[in-house]
Amino acid sequence: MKISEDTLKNISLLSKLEIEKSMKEKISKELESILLMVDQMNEVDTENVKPMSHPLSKAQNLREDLVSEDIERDEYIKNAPQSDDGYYLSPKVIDQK
Amino acid sequence: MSEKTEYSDWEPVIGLEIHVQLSTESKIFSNAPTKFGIEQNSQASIIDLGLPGVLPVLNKKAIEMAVKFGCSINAEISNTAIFARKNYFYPDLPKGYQISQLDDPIVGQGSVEIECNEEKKLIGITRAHLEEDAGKSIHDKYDSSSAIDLNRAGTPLLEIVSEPDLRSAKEAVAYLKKIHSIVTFLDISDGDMSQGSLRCDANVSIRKKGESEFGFRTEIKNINSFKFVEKAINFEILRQIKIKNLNNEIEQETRLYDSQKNETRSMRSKEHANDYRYFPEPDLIPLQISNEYIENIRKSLPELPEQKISRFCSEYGLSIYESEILNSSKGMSNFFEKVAISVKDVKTAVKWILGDFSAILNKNNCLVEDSLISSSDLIDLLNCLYENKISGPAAKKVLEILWNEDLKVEEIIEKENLKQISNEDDISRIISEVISKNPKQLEQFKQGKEKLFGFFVGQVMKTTEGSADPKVVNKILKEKLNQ
Repeated sequence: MKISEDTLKNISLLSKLEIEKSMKEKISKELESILLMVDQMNEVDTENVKPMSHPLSKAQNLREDLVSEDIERDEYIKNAPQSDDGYYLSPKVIDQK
Repeated sequence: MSEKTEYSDWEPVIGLEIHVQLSTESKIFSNAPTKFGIEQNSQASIIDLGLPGVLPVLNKKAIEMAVKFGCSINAEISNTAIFARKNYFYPDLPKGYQISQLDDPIVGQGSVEIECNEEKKLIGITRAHLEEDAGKSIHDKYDSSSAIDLNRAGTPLLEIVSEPDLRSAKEAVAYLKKIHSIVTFLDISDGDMSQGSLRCDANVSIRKKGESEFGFRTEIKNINSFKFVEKAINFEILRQIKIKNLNNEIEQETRLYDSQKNETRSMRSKEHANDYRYFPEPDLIPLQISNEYIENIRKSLPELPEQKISRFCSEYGLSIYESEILNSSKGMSNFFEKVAISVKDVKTAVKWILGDFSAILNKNNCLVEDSLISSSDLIDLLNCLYENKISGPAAKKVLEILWNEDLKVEEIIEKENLKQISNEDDISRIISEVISKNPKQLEQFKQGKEKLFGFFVGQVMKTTEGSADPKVVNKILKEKLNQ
């Protein structure tokens, strides 16, 4: 399967990674080879196989509804490149989601 | 063509997506608290922040609440619900994805009955799924940055998706109110729209009457009150009709409702459409919900609004109209029932709760849960009224004072001298005095000037400082003047 210029652009947008012009062809090739590998799976007949959502067949462990977390905001916020008055700061985002 | 006739050619098709914050103590995947309005980022744990290496652990209570809702709308409950990652990039979503559900949601197809313009209608519910809420971005606090508060991140949400079965803004409001009353009566959410506990997006399209195909739809976001749901949808219907009547096409897009300007406007991002790249959440194994568990919840469901409405009618002799208003919120329903079981005359209690008591709540913009007049105060007051200890107007005065001062009913009656004289002997004696003091007026009355009856009533009221029972005064005065 061929990775088109548009597809590559879309992948770069979604992953928030800028792909340099000189790298485009190399990355396209690599992505194509990944798709080729995945394509092999399509050769398997899955007609009567129920889709699996998780490789483990155990049941989900549930938690009681209790508050017990110690929140150390001032420690956590040290990880942020920018903060003020207990807020994390990000570049201004005007687009509403 | 007038706007009215243009409108009547078209049929709106509306579906709602309602996000309900579940009232768990802790978050859906972490054990941080879920309180509203506390200091920024003080309840955002390492899981809510999406720090490297943390793992979500699902809250049992959130599952229970979702199943409760499913049972109350007669929906299929999934035995094997799975979670999925919905990927999008936004600063208030620290992980870069929201844990939600796509295939196999916990609550499948169900329905609720609504009533609109005295017609009953069944509205289909496509699904209801569990997901985590995002944080909040504050854009106007700093000039060049957005401030991020992640306290809300990870609060459990139940997203309830309706079928496109609604045909007017009024029906949409009736449906939203129905869902609101179900979740509050089930006690799975406080349903407070002003705090964002219940939020609503509306999908709106129009088609020519009689057509079976749907038109292109727009999604309206940010509608945060019952009133705005109706306004926003009506605005959007008209906007679409105007476009169609000019033979233009509706663009499928997301629009934001601006309640101050009462309009919707496009919030389409110029770059490219959302691509959520859903995939099964690898950090959470599928749920296993047994039929036995579901049946136990079904059996222990509390009384729902519809059942309460008919029980109040048969048990307390209310009209359907009265019962519906008293059951419009769980708080009011509980308050009424507390009063009804202890009061000597339920009819009067209904009249007062729906009348003066509700008026005071509205005037003070207060929910019944936060009323400054307790149910036991109101019971005392209504019983005094029933026993003719005070008059109706005096009771109104007591009600006002109950709201403003920390006093008991008896204390107020005493302090304000509101005790009603209804003893016939006392009133008879006062009336005799009044008549003997006003011989001229008595003479005129006897000569046929009947209007003077009011003068005598006034004099009695003046003498008693308004505390005489008017019914008794009227009765005795008639007897005496006509002797």
